[in-house]
Amino acid sequence: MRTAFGSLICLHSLDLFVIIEEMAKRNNLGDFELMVMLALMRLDNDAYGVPISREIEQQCGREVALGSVYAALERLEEKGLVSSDLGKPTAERGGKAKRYFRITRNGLRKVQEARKALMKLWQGLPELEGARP
Amino acid sequence: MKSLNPPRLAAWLLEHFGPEVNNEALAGDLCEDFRQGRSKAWYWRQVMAAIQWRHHLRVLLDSAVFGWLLSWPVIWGSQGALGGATIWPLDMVVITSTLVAINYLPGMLRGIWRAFLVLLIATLFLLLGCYRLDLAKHYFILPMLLSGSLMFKRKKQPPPSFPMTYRELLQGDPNQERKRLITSLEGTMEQESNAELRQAYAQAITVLESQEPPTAVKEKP
Repeated sequence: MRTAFGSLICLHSLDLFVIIEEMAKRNNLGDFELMVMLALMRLDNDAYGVPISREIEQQCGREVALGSVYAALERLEEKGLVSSDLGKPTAERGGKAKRYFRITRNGLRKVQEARKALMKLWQGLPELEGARP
Repeated sequence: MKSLNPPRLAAWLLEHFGPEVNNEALAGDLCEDFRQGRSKAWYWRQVMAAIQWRHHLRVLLDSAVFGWLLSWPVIWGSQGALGGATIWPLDMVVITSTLVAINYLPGMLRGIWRAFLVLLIATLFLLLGCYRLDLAKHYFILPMLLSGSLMFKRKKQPPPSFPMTYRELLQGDPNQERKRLITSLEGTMEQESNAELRQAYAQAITVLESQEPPTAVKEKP
């Protein structure tokens, strides 16, 4: 009986993964997603993984995993904020095709909303205006 | 002299355990960056970060739970889930390993290797039957399941960006046309100086973007 109960708990704990996956599908932009969208905009919209990660590395000064960039882009594409097209395979990439990403109008709107919200939150904070807390 | 090709094992791990969506693009990006002077350590770090550990841990946990349930003598009586003599701890290891193999092997091997492995499994099983008939009877179902998955299970293909029917797939993706039209309209809109025309372009783009992607094309009877 105890072991049967244990197995039920084991099966139930697998739902945790589902909950975590659902959390990633939330509507508002996350910190890294916003960085990826801004990098896309800086690169004039027709960008693929390498320049996007380099742009984030250069501007933010931290190493970025390409896998994380693609995971963020996949989430953004699911939300309809980014669209992508497959390029042609090239020899310098081991015969693999590039995937070009571009921001949609809906994506642009989301970035503007995020900017407005952050600007409102930043305004009037004494810590950011040189005063001590 | 530094090799132009990225580490083989890392590239293999990325292909089979990396993300399903955008795997090719990611592999190409890593290859391109590596050829531009990145180190092997960097390549390995990127691959380790791209592997979907959570998904693979889940497959392993699923297999272990089912292996444990199937090999549980209290549920299935003294005969065990598979019949014959009960060898409980060994059962759990063998069943779990088989379930993991069923999950991964078909996606990793190409046609000829699958056929070779099916033949190898059949031969090994016949040999086992010759020497230990009791064990062969006990594990009878497992090589059957593994061979079946090798013969019939195919690697999951990444989903297309929009749902497509077979006819759309054969005739080309109509959404690509829609995307091209949006891009071209956006380009024209940026160059347009007339405010009214710009607004008209913007409206047209909004309509195109809000359109549902084409769904099933009804076949004529």
